[in-house]
Amino acid sequence: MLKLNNVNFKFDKSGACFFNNLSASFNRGKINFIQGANGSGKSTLFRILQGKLSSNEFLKGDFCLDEKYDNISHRIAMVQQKFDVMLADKFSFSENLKFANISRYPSLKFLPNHKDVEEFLKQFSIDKNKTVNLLSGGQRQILAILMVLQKMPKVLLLDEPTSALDVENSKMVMDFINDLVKTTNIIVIMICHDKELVESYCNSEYYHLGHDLISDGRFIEVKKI
Amino acid sequence: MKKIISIGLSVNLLLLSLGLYFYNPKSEDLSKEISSDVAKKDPKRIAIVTPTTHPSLEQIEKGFVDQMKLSNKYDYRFVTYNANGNRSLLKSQIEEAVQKKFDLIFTLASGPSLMAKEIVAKKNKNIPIVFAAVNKPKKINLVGDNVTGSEEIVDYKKQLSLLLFLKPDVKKVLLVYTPTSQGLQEDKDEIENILKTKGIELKTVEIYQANETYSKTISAFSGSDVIMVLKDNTVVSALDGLVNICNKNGITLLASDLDSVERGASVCFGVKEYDYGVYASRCAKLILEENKKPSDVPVVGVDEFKLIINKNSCEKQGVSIKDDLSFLIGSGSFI
Amino acid sequence: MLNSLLIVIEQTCIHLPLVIGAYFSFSLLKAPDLSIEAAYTFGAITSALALQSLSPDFCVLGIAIALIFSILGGCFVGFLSGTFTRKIGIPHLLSSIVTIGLFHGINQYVLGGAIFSLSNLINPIELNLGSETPFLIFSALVLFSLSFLFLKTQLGNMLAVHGNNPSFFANYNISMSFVFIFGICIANALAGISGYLDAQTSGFVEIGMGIGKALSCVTAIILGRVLTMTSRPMNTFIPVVGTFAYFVIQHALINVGFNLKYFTMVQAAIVLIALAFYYRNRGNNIFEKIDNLGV
Repeated sequence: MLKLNNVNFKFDKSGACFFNNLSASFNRGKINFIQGANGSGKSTLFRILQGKLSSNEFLKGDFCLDEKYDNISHRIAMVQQKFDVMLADKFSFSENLKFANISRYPSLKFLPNHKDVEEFLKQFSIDKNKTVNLLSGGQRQILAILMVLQKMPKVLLLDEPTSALDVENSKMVMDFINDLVKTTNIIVIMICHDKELVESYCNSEYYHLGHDLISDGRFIEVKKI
Repeated sequence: MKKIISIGLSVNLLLLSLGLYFYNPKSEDLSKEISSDVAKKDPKRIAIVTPTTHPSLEQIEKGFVDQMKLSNKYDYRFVTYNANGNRSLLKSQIEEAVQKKFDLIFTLASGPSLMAKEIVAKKNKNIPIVFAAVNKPKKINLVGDNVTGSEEIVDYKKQLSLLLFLKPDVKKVLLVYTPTSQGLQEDKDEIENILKTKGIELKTVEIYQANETYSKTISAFSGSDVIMVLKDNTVVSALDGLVNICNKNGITLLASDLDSVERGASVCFGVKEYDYGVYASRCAKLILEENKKPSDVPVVGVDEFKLIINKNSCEKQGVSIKDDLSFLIGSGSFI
Repeated sequence: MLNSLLIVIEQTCIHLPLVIGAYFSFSLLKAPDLSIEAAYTFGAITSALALQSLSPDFCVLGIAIALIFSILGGCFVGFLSGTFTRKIGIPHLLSSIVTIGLFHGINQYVLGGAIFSLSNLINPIELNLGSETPFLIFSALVLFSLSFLFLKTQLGNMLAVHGNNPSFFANYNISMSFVFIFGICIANALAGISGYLDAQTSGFVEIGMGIGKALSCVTAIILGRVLTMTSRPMNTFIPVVGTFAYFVIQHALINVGFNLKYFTMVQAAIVLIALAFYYRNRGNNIFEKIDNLGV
């Protein structure tokens, strides 16, 4: 379980608080959806979890993963909204997976092996040896998620994975994430605006990130569907 | 389909090179037109290798070719290889010339001469090499059993004392030269030493490309009485700019080669480029006609120095000519 | 005929490291790395001076010294050029031009003159056989196999990924500076080796050796692309075939018999035809990203 306790965040050290005593907890075994109006701070929250702050910004609060880890930023992996930036177009599916396993300073050894996910590929009819720019959007989205998973993170953040996809590809990606949540031990937090999609998955927790007019900060609350 | 096209292209390239090896139009044409009337002279083939296109190099080549054509013994045919300023092209052309077994290779300036010496030493030691207009060949190791030719000699003592004779009140000299050109760095040191003994200050401007000559000189010339130019192809190409500066400001332009005088330099002391070719042709004739070995033919330094003065420019550039001057100068001429 | 082929093969072997290096930086890294000109000259200068001062007695030792010093010299140029790009933030085209300018002076200082002759030193690459060709062919084969293997390693693939998608690295916590600077260093080290081979076979080192080499490398790579027509992202055959084709064309043009003043012009016309042929149908295919560098 990932817990946030009394998180205070300011964009500018001298300015107003953006997140004011924000608290939340995210569980395993279910997809955690975050929904909120544009500008309510969803991507900022993801950025804070990853630890990517610029020098002006101010952060204070408790982050706790599984009651033991405090330094969580390298156990968190994120797939951006523009997932094409995370792929190497001219290479094949399996080569991309191998690239994701490379450490900070690539060495002169041959490419490392990737963790095989044959059953997923058959299910989504992806050809391992085709170059990535010939795959469809949903298949590329799945590739981005798989690449990020190669380093075995404990938390997976997904920023609107289905917003650029059509109905069929969206279903494919959601099925994949669903399988992932059921079979592995990863906490999945997903931003999604599509209400119908959220409602169609029962094993999910639905959070709303809203603006508190009284304290002028943000709050997260669990909403039951 | 693509693979077939690419294979086809590569095969075509190889066939092209094969075909062109056997097709050699130059020598065939010449043999057709000459064989009818000049049957008594045997042909001898000479390869001329020039590093780039430049008027002074063309003059040297002309001197060589004109003198060789006057020969009664052989009928000389020339093939010119112009390297377009490209080193790998120069190498290809010299390899080509060596492979075609020319009777002599005539090289201009130090680059082609060194390369030709190296390649001939490796591939075919029988081809003699005659060079022309190389500055200090011993220093760059252009010596060998089958290398000889005409050397550039400089006599700065004489040149500078003649300058002082014409213009005794010189206090500061600006030297415009290319340090990356072979031998000029040492020339600058020599000139500096000579001028120091005479109590004249020397300032230098270093040029690496012809088009920066004007802009660099115009910032540096103030206070100078004389601008001096050496045997330097790069700066001499841009001589017109220097002539402009000198004419406007009354500064004397002293050049070290005789072709600059028509372009506006007021005092020129040097050797005609044509003469380098003439002297080299004498070496070539000794090798080819009298069957001397190149090691027996000493490297000849061309020292027929001439002093030429451009009267019009002298007026603009601050050199006063007295009428009785021509009697006092040993070998000189007026324009 | 055999002589002609031998001449072309020798020229190819001398320039092969340079074109492989240019392939790594222009085609794979997509960085317009003009500093290979400076590395070419500087590698030749360092190895020539090392041979002169160390004066090895054995040929194999001489080869080792020459190669080590030319690699170090080229690497130094590449390291400077890459550091200016990654650490200061200058675009690589500008930082490589600046490096050429810096090394214009450094080369003059180190060489101490305009021309340096190598003919009074032992020629290590002759290996007492009397001809340089066996060593040249051997070195070309070794270099080809080494670059083939290199492109299968992690670093080789990362070079190609840099050209394909530079924003790839931030997402997987791979150091982009490391990949880029390493790639530029390797490219310039290969240029240094080529500079030494050129100086050794011509017999002298000249300050202006490197001028125009970037253009001839680009020409060779373009010819290689046209002739191999491969769709894979990395292919070691492109520089090899390209260099060979470049020198075949050069050799053939010398033999045709037109006035060689116009050689550069005719060569450029041939490259134009090759380029037109290669780029004719590129715009139609939507999966081919338009490549700004085009090499």
